[in-house]
Amino acid sequence: MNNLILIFIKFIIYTMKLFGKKAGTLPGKLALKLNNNIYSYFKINGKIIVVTGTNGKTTTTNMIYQILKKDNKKVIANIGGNNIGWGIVSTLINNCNYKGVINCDYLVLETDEHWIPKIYKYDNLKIDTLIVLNFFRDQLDRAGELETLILKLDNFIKDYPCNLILNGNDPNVLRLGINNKGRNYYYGINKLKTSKEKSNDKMEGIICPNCKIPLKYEYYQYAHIGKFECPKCDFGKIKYDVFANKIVDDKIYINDMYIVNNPSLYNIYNILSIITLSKIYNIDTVIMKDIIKNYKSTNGRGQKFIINNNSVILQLGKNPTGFNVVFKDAKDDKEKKELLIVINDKINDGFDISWIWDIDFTNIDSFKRIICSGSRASDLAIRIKCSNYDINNIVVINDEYKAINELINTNNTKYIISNYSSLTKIKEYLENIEKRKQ
Amino acid sequence: MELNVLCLYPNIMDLYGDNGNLEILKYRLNKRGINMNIDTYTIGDGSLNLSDYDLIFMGGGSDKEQKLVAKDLIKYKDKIKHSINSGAFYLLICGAYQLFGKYYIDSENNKIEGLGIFDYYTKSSTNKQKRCIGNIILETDITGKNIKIVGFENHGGQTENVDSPFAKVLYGNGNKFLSEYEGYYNKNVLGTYLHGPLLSKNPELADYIIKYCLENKYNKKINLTKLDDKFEEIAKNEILNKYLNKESKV
Repeated sequence: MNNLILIFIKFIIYTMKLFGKKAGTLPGKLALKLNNNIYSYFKINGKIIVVTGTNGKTTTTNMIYQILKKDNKKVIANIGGNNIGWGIVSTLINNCNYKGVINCDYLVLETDEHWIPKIYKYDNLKIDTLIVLNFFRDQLDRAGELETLILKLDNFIKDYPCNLILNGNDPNVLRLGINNKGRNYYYGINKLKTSKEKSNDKMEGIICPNCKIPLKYEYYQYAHIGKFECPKCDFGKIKYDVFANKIVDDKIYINDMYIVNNPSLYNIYNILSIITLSKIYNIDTVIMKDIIKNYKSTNGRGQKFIINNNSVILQLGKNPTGFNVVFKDAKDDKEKKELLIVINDKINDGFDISWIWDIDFTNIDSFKRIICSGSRASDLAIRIKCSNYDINNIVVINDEYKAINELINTNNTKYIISNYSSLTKIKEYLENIEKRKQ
Repeated sequence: MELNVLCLYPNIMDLYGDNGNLEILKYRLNKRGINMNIDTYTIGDGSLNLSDYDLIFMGGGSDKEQKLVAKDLIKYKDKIKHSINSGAFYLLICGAYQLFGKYYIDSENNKIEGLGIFDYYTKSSTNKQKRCIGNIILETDITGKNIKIVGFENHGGQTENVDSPFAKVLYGNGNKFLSEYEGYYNKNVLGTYLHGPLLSKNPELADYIIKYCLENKYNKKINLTKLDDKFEEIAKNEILNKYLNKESKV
């Protein structure tokens, strides 16, 4: 039966491609409709690496994919960011033979944190290494509270021995290591010039999971990310496998090795998780450094465009941290600039958009004008207005294409932040304008 | 004129942008030339002083956080009762609303003792997937006019025995699954499940609270100047048009 499903779906993919259509998540959706245990059918001859966490999954997965590929490994990955059930099934179907066998060295799967227990409970899909980047508030209505998610993952991991690569500076992530029967690897960053003793951002997970008392922070990098420990128990007292001792200009120093990138602090954490991974699988350091150094986003996450001689920077913002990081970067950019924010409340964005009130909008005066767009543009306008930004410089245009046309009409640097459902549309629209103007 | 506001446990009880309510109140006061001072109290800050405040605000939290806060809050039961009786306005969202009732039984079946200041009590649905989640539309006349309130609810807790609810449910769940009513209201205490944050798209309610607090503090009739609420009106109408014209319940 599964075999028939597979042949049927492969035929559909083939036909869609024939008509020049992108298959996307449709094959996976169909396959799961026909059999919601279709996961169990695949046979993976290779190691499964899973990347999860709230922010940075797609970028990290793409870098790992490029590094392994350049290292002459046969690697399959869902680099397009289709990270929930049907997206992953689509990737598997696209890459297996008619018997459901996938032959590769590595299968790298970015996976939505909520889907991990559902997908990897099958024996044939056993994770070899799980990278956990961070946990922030994200799309809470679809997910229930963050705490519920962590408990769910913890419950899954405790009977699931695998390598865990954990962000040692995120207490929510570090918790997952407590009950893991496999090996834990930790990465983190030393106190930097930009580190703070207090965090103004909205906090998560400030309570020790063992003792239920507030954690003590030595320093914060951003939000709840930083060096912490429990005043009472061992929680937080870890030995790092990869630790960035200092960051100077564009160089990240890790003991005797340094890596060059143009990173936001945000992305340095992603990079450290990859360096940790390279230790487990003996990945060539030169290749790794080269990919990290030259990595350019093409998926709308920090992607740059040049339109009418102005740079346009597109960023995904699906939770407060995503925005706060962009605003911190933009604050250092002293040039005149304008901002477009697109907020939708479609199913893959989450219906609840109240998290926009957790964004720190006190740093945005350097933007001459802010255009609010998307299905919840007015909510956004209220939010920005109440942060005391001049109401006369707020423009509401629900349609994102019209909003982009309005934005690129003036002569200065542009920032665009979009939540999930519009990101690809905007990226493709900007790519088309960029091509046309060349 | 000025208003003094105390925000309880802002570092613990702040889910879904609830503290935005204070930003909104402050904005609306400042636009009218009135200052708003915000103080905070949280665990480890020493003793809680309530007597200096005109408005006390507390937001929602997860089960774990509620448990932590309940233990601390209960120490101040008499002080809180006294402050309510002397007329300070209490705006309580979600978890805070629950903790002012008799008790809260969380999703793991642990009983968390509430302040017991009001007679309602809450039991969480044990199925963590089964929560009241979604946009919600209410109708209330607490401001003296019949107005619609829009927001977003996200709670597993089912609150029973509410003798004076905040509003009638036109769309969504309310105090429990498919409930007729939402929240608790009694002159100077408003408890509700509404996030959004609550006041972001309901400027009439925000102004009602402001007016109450100022009149209570200065003991005279206050007329608030009208503000430019065009974004609020559009945002509210978008929700009303999207959900109210369908069937009236989920």
